[in-house]
Amino acid sequence: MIQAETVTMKFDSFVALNQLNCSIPDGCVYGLVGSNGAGKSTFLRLISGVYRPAEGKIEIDGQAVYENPDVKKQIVYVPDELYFLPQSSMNRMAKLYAAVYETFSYERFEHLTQTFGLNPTVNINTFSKGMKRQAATILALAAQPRYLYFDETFDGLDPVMRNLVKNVIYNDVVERQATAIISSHSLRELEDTCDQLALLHKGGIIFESDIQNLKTSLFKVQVAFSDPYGKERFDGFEMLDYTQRGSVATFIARGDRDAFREKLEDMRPLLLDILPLSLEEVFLYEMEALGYAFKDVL
Amino acid sequence: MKNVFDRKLYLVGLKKCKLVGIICGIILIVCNALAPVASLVSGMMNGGNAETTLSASNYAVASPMLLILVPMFFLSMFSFLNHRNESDFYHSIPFKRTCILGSFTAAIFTWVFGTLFASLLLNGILYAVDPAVHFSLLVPLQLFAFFAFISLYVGSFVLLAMTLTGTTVSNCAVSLILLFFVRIISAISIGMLESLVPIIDVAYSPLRFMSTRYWLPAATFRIFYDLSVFRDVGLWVYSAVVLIALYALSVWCFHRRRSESAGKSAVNRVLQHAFRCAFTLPLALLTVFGVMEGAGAAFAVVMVLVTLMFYYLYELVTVKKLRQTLLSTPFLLVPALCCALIVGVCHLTRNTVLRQSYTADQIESVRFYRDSDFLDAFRGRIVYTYELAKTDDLSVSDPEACEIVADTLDNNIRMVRSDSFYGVYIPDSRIENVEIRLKSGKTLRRILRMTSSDVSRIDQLRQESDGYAETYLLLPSDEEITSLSFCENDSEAVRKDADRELWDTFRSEYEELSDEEKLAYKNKYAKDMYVYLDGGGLADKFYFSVSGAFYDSHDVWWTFGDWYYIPPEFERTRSLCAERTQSERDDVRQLIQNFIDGEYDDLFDENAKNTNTRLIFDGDGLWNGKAVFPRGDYEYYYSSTGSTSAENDPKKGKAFFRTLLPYLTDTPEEDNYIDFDFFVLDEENNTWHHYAIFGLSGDIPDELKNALGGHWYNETPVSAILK
Repeated sequence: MIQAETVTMKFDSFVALNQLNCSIPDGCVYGLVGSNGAGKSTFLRLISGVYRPAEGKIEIDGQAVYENPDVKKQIVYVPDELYFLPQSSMNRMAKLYAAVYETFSYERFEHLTQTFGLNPTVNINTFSKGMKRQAATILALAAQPRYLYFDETFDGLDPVMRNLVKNVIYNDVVERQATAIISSHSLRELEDTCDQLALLHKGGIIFESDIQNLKTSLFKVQVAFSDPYGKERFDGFEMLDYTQRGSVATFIARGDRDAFREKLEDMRPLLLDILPLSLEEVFLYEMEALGYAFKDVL
Repeated sequence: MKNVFDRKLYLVGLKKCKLVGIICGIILIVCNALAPVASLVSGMMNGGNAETTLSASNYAVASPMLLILVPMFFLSMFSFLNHRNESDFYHSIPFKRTCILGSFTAAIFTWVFGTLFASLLLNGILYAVDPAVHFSLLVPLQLFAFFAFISLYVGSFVLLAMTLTGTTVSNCAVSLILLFFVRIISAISIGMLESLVPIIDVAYSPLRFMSTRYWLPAATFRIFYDLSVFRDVGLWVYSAVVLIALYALSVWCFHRRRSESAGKSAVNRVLQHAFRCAFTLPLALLTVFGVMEGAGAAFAVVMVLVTLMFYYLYELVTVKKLRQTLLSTPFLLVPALCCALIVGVCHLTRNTVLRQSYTADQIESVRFYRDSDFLDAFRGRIVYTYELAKTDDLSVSDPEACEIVADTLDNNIRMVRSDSFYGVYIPDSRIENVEIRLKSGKTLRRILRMTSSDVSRIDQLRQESDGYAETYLLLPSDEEITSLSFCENDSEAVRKDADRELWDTFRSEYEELSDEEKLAYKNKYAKDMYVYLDGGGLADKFYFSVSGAFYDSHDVWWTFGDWYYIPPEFERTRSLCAERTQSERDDVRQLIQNFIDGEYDDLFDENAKNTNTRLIFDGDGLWNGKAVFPRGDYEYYYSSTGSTSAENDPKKGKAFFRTLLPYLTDTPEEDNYIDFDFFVLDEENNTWHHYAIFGLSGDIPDELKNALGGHWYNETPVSAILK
């Protein structure tokens, strides 16, 4: 488990992370979402041991990460700006990774290069941006670490490759009980991949939740009654947003969907629709409930 | 061990700088192979080169190359410190930072040492096959150690610079600042101090380590002409201390370095200001120095403009932001304040030194001391006779000497105050380094302008002092002797092991003498290698050629070269000499006889084991005869037997030696003689040594004159030289 406690990271006068607390369980795909400058990359560098926090502590299974090779050998970090040795091929890079990570598997490396259709003997400089990102992902996965960190990893990938990368990462997590942390500034990219999501804003996690729970706990209700009514008819319901046009009321509700339906049906409505929300809509309403304007956060 | 080195990471490092390694290998191999190949080709084209002995200067060209190549390795290997993505990668891998540093540094030096060794090996092989070169394995081995040390030294500066900066430009700039600018700043400051207080001897102040003598990069150029650099203990100890300190500092900085420093000109703003100011300070100091020395206003204006240009240029090039460059303007005050501080310290020192005037009563003793080569790596070493080296700086306690020095010091202080120390011509004066030991226990070292008569008087008092005679009569100790040869007449002897035995016998006989006898010996023989008998004729000369070196108690390096004649009174030594030379002559006579009787036409033949048997037991091989014809001020040398010269007819050699042998005598006549010297090859050191000397007795018969003139190739026939 990755545990961050009151972590603060400063660059001169700029505070990149401020008193951040976070707990990431093992065996999940954890999504970090936030706008540019929110602190996603800084957080990933901190939990990779690249940075030492100015304040607070970052631990994996109770051990500090910074300058701790025993912990760091379980981590592979694929940064936003990729690094390959000059004029190297994927095979050359595989040798570098094999020298650095004891768990590196050439078998898995070959399997993945075939899956992605990349030529491991060709100079990586000749690869497109997307192919370079695939190459970095392959190398990271072939190292078979317990913790995989991907920073903006879907940037530059076409939809087909994006899905392939997602699947490969997902399978890796499932098969090896690994933990993957993926950062992105786009919520949609993480929606169908992550088990948990955290929203970073101005150096702090302002919202963190299980995706399944998120998606099912909020829903949109459209209801109409024959008699005149107002918002007070729904007292006792947990609502985040309420609008009424004529006899049709639309609101976002939180709670158990079936219980909600049962209660509303007992009120004998003319019309009743309970609709699922997209993850973006869930975030929108949750942010508003917390007092943030979603457009400012993402 | 995993904290400082990892084998796999080391292998990664080796591959990482493969390209630079190959380039370095090619450059070093070309540098080190060029001279021997040129020598070989020239030898082949000209039918042989003049014989030379291999020395360090044959390799010197590779030395300055390392000042460029080693930084290239570091810039290549640790380039990840300058790029954010690379920096993140290497800081995220599961190794301690010290391990990354240690493994990569080890990889760099594997390449450097490997290519260096390969180039020196190739060079050694090429020289070894060149018949004109007397190859000695010691020279390349010594140089390998020297170059390896220089590489480590230069590397320490570049590594520290790289841990403190984050771009290639700032890496290079700060490397230059650390490696050169600190020395330049100190040299200007010392120059300023010496200009203000010419009587101060900075060579004995804590600033001595700022002299070029202690600056290893200067030594890389010195080995072209001054091989004493290898024996300069002070240089090596100082450099080793600097090297260790810089690596320790580099490890500490590397450990604390933040990954986000990559791409920044310096790891923090304070250092950026410091580097920029250090970059500018030499120019600022030069400006101030120039003004102090009376340079005009035009010089000052130009220098200020150049200084400003350097100041802003450094910031602009390293930071690449115009706004930040302009914002650095207030920090111009720092170099200005540094200049003011240095000038202030110099003036403070001047005032302190000029207040230090003492009466003769306050002085316990004085002594002249030789200047070490402070601030002048290009000055020659001190060479004296052993006696002079030992006695030249003895202190004198005589009140008269103290009085002279007290008065001189007082005069000199007045001259400095009135600015006339250098500017005014004072007849019959000279500059002397004087150490003044005070009764209070304090010691002053001053450079004083003295009259020659005062110097002579102090010298005289020194020679009359108690310690002088005792020191004067000493023979060099075994530790001080670096080279010892036993000589007969003007030729060096062969057997080094026997030399030591002879020397020990000589020393024991010398030690048995009373002090008066030793003094008589020194005065009669030690000053002149040409020893004449009481009757006026030239004595048969057995003597030692002794050279050596030592550091005195003041850490001044002395070298000496002396002749020690073996007088007839030293019977045991003389007897051993006679025994030795007779044995050598018998050997040579037998060899010549074997040659005459044998089937081979050469004095030395690899295949003629029987012929050469008598010489092989020494591990040597007979070379060739050599004739010396002393006539007036000239000597004529001729090659003889044809073993090394294609122009000789070897078959005539037998006839020649058959004629010569009966006339060879052990003791040459006083006048009109011909010496025949035989040499042997010392295979271990690959040098030729004199083996035995013969003379021709009485009048030279026509038969021999004809043999000499007819046999030896020379432009002037021997018969024409011989009367």
